[in-house]
Order: sequence, then structure tokens, then C-alpha cells
Amino acid sequence: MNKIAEIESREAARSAFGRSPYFSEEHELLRAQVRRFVETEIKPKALAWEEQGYVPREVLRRMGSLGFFGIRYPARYGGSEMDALATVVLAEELGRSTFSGVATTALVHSEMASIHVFRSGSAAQKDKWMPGIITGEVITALAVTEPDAGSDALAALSSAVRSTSTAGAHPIPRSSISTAAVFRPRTGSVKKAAASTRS
Amino acid sequence: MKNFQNERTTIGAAAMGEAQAAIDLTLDYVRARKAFGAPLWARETIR
Repeated sequence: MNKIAEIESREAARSAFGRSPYFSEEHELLRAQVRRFVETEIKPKALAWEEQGYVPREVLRRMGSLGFFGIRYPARYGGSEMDALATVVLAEELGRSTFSGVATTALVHSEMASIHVFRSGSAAQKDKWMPGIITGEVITALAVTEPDAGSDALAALSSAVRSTSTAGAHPIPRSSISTAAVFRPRTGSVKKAAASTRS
Repeated sequence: MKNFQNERTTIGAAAMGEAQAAIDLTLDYVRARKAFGAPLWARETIR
């Protein structure tokens, strides 16, 4: 029995009461697609990616072309406008690969970093960045660590100052892996998001 | 705190997938591994 059929027969045995009422046919189609991707394109190669310390860009672009990064974003940017449970399906199946580094790379980009551009970016910023974010051309990261704010990006106190000087500037660790780092500084008393870019 | 709703749901769901994979791997092992003439699965301490 191949791997996917094996997982499916297990699922069937487990769900004596039928599929969870929270998931629809559309969710299950997405689940089957992610599962196929995990079995054929992640599991056979991910040990090597862990060794080298990052997931190759072409794999991320492939995930983008399959629509994994645009699950909840509007169709006008190339997204598929599904609901939060579709994100749950994506995360569950990526987690199931047992390669949490791959899962985290994809999920931080699609659900944790790019969402700030989407929620707080200006129309121009969204038009510029969202299509690439969804296709996987642009990979986002979060630049958030501060003494009083870690993963809660909105609690950050850093402020943005327009300047041509690099004095006081900080390099972004591992920035070679991501295309864009999302940084949410305060500008004056108004909270605004800015996408600072590095390539 | 607003984005926690999104982040934590995603992290929780990924952890669920990982936990399920761990259970599947464990089940495979206890069914396949034989000790003292029977699979581990047949021993009451494992069941």
C-alpha cells in the first residue's frame, strides 16, 4: 500500500463517526492536495533541507503555485478566499510531514508575517507585495524581537525614522533566506506598518 | 495581541499534525517490533 493510501485508510478507521462537522468537501480537497505534496515533494527531500538549514526557494515557489500561501487572501491578489479552517488543514498536514522546519517556514510566511502587510499595509503596499507573497516569489519574515515584545508584533515600541544614515541600523539575521522582513514600528503616535525590504 | 488569534491557531494545528504523525509512527513500531515471541502491541504494558 502506498503512503497516502495508508494514511487515508487510517483516517477512515479512526473516523467511525464520519468526518468532523467543521470540515467541508473543499477542506478535504485541500487536505488531499497538501498531503500529496508532503508525501511526494517534502518527505523524500526534507532531511537534506534540514542539513543545509533552509528550504530551497523553488520548493516555496511550487507551494505558492499550488495556492498554499494564498488560502485566505482575496482573489484579486491571487488568493483563494477560504476560511480559517482551511489554514488549520494546511498547518495540520504540513505538521504531519514530521519536518516542522518546513512547516514553520511556510506557515510563518503565509500566516504570521505577510498578514501584517495585508492587514495594515497601504493599498499601494498591498498591490506591490501581495501577489508575490501569494505566488511564493516574495518570502516574508518578521522582524519583531524587542526587550518587551517578542512574538506579539503589535506590542513593539521601536519607532521608524526616515534617515539616510546607517548609524543605529541593525542587520536582520538570516535575511538571505527571506525577501522581505515585515517590521511594525511606531511612527510618531500613530501605529503604522511598514514593509522594509532586503533582497 | 490581535494577530495571536491567527498565529496560535496555526501553530496549534501544526502541532496536532505532528502529534498525529508521532502516534502513527508509534503504532507502526509496536505492531512490527517483536519481543519474547510476540509484537510489543500484544503486551499489556504497551496497550
